[in-house]
Amino acid sequence: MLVDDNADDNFFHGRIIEKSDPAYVVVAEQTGKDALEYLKSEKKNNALHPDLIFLDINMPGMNGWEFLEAYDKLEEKYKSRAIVIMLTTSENPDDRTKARAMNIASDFKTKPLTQEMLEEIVRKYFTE
Amino acid sequence: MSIIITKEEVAFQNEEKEKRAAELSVANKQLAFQNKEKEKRAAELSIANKELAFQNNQKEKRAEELVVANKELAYQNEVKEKRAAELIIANEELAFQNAEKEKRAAELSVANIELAYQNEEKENRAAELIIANKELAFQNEEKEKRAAELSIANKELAYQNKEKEKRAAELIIANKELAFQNEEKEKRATELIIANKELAYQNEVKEKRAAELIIANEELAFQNHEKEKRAAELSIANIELAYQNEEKENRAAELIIANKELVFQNEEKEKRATELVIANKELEQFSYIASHDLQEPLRTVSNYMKVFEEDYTDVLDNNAHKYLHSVNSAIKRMSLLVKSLLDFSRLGHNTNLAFVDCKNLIDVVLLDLETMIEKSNTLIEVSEMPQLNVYEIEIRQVFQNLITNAIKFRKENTRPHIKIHSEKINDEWKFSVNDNGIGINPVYFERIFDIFQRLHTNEQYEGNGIGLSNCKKIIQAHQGTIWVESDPERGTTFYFTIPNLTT
Repeated sequence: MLVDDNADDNFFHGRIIEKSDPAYVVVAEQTGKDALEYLKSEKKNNALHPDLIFLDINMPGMNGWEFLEAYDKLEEKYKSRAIVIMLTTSENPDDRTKARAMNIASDFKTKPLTQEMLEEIVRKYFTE
Repeated sequence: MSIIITKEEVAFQNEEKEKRAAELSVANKQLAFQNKEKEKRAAELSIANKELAFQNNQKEKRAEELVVANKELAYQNEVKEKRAAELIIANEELAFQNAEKEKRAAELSVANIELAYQNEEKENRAAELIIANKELAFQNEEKEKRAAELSIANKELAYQNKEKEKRAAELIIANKELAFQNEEKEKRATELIIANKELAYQNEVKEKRAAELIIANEELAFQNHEKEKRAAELSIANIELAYQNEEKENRAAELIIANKELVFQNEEKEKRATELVIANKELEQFSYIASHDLQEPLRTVSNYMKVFEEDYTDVLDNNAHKYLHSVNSAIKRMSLLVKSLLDFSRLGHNTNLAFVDCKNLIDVVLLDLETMIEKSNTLIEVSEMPQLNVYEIEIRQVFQNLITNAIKFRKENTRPHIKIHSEKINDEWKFSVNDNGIGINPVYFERIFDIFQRLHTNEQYEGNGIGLSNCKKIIQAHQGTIWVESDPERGTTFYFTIPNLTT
């Protein structure tokens, strides 16, 4: 799942993910609110719980941090046991520190998402 | 005693005479014996007498001799006694004289001491008198000098007196002249009243200006008015004063203007200074945000180019591919520029000094540049390095930039050799990075530290012209300086200093 207000970025990142493995299903949402809505009503369009969420920080309306807080408070049945990874243009060390302090997101990556980054993430978080 | 003797008395006395005669017969007999004895004795005595008579004779002779001797002695005695008496007298006289002399001697001794003391006193006094004399002689001399001066001064005063008398006579004449002039001035005064009106008119004009110049002018206008009144009475002086007034007003007006101008300029400068500070901060913020936000569309363009190439590679002809390649490399350059700009604007955001071992720091840089160093076969020497307070990431960037440059601008066919050195000078550390590369023309020593200034084309040497400007900004943030020395023959040395910074 991609949560980013930048549709272009969603397009490229989705392309990278799909190219990496055509079996991956990508869901892209441009606002945090839409993403939460999706998580709460997943059944209606027959989609799956996301395993991996890429989350931007600077978004209009609900920003990445606010999404994280709301996501953390979701009822357990809606909460997918997804790995959340911050994916942002921010190189501000404070943001990195903040993400670590909140301890909801597993990782902090700088845009753009590349094939290599994705492979590394998959290797690190999805290899049993 | 009574001579009447009675018969009884004569009887008794007869008895007694008979008794007595008997006793006298016994006694006669005894006496007769004794007489005989005495006659014997007398015979003996006669012999003894004769003996004695002889002895007497002898003695008398001796006596006579003794008498003579005695007389002689007596005479001598007498003479001696006389002499003795005389000597005693003489002795007594001498004793007396002695006593007198001793007394006198004692008195003289006392007198002597007294005289000696008086002598000393007199000598002292004499010495004092000599000094006093000298002093008096000096004072005398001084007084004579002073007298001579006074005499001169007296003459001078006498001369001045005469001069003053002359001057007094002249003043009397001048006074008369002034009296005449006064009369003339009174005549002139009436003329000045007209002139005054003219001045009053001018005053009105000035009052208009005074309205602009507020209080100061009103005060001056009032003074003017007052001065005009007096001017009528004091004629010439008034013209002078009017003139002076005008001058002063002009000057005052000029000063007020100049003052306002200065105040204005000052304010402007202060405004400008605060504006500059704000503008500087804004600019920093701006360049940070700009370069940050510029990245995003650039990335989008770059991404779409990639997608375009991937999806349509089969339908594009050679020209189209060439164009795409040019676009891509332009995007790459721009992306690099924007990234560098972002790095540059981000400098100075870090405010935390860290105590860093520069040796370790350089080791990390050399490790990062390992591939480059190996590929270029660069020899690197690092001397003793200090530990000091720096902005760690930034200083690492400085070393990285300088070492990268030293390798990048190496001479062909020469093994690159880089020497990194540090030394303590007073309170600061001076670092140097020396190479044996192509060197820099001294003309460009300043320019190379400016942002986006490059001496070579991208084809010759890759780069974006921001490395050294970053270094300069970083060193300045450490309150140090950075400069370069270079010689095309021997290579280039970059120097920078870092003072003792406290956290």
